[in-house]
Amino acid sequence: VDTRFFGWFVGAVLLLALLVNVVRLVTAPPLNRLARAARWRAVLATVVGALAAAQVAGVVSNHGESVWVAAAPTVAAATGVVIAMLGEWLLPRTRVSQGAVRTALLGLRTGLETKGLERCLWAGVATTALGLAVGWVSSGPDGRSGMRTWDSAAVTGAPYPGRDFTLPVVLGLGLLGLVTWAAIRVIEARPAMDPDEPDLDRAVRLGSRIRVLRWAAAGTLITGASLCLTVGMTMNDVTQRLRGLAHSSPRAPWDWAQNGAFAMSALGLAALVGAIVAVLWDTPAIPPARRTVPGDNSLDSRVSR
Amino acid sequence: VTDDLRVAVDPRSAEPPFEQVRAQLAGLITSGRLLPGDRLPTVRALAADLGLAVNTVARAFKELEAAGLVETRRRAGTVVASGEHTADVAVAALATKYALAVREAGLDDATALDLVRSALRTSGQTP
Repeated sequence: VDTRFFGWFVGAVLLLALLVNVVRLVTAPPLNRLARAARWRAVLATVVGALAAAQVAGVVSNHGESVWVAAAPTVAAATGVVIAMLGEWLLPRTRVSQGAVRTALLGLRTGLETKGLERCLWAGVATTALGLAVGWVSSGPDGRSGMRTWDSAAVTGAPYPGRDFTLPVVLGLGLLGLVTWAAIRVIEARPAMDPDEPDLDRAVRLGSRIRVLRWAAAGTLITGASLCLTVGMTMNDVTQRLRGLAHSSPRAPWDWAQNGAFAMSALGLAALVGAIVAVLWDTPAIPPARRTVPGDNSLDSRVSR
Repeated sequence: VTDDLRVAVDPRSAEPPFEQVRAQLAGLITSGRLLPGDRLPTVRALAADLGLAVNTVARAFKELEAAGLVETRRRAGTVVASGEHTADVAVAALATKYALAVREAGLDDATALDLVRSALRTSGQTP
């Protein structure tokens, strides 16, 4: 599959996500300074993350015929995760004066489940693993093409995620897993923005968690989609050419290798749809702080960053 | 774990911070406001919110664990242990929650007690 297609695809989805965010910002109810600062930092982290991820994807992809192009989605997603993690460190928080009593809510970090996105992430990992495994066992001697044989006839086709692509994909996946794990820990351990605003803190924390997981899910799903689609389309092409060479080779609908190629294509398309769903996964709206009073700047003065 | 459950640390107190954390959590558990299975925040999260060192909160948790009030489970983290609650304490905590719900709903005492009697009748004979 042409990498430019993925570039345009990712760009279009990110642009759509950006538009949705801008519309929400314009139509959102007025917030006090703490909530407003949190929301703007979240939008900034999303925009900067998207730009940085697009840049990194471009750099990794522009290496001609290098196998490292297969790691572009996961490395780009890892960049987005790192930016989201940096954004978490920049969130505003209440300044506590020296010697003042400090309080912590025991239930502050409850209700932060993101099961749907986690399922998307694991689906991406499973699709990637399947694409790699099928690509490995059906690759030609060069490790970069798909091969089918029948009697004395052998046909190869490329591009194909054969053995040579395993290392870049696994390394990219490992990098993405590592930074996602670190980012989730940073979000979990971030001090409360204001102990008297649990709903605000929960919405911001859940939003941060979603931003990290949607990068991770999108990275793995796009990788899985590209592997499965490439395997499916190339193997179908190889099968058609093999039939021209070996007339006794299996014919549709009883050619199980070709049926498998169709199944891989369908799985790739499903993963692509999953990636769109993950990228557009909505974050909770940040509620107005409970103590907001028009003209009251008491809370504003407590924002430290 | 509801939003009214808090732990506070006073840096000016003569009591060391770890003891303040330990005593308040122990109080919440023995009074039944934290029930068996309730999950406590992670050591890192609680330390961050209270502005304490991770080791300080870890020491408080360790002492609670040694006293059998909490237990650490691999996936669930630190949870309130089940052994420290008599049935009375656990039911009293639930009764308090019920009373709060009655007040919020605006029911009078007689109606609230009728509801309890009805629930007891439908739940079967006393042992």
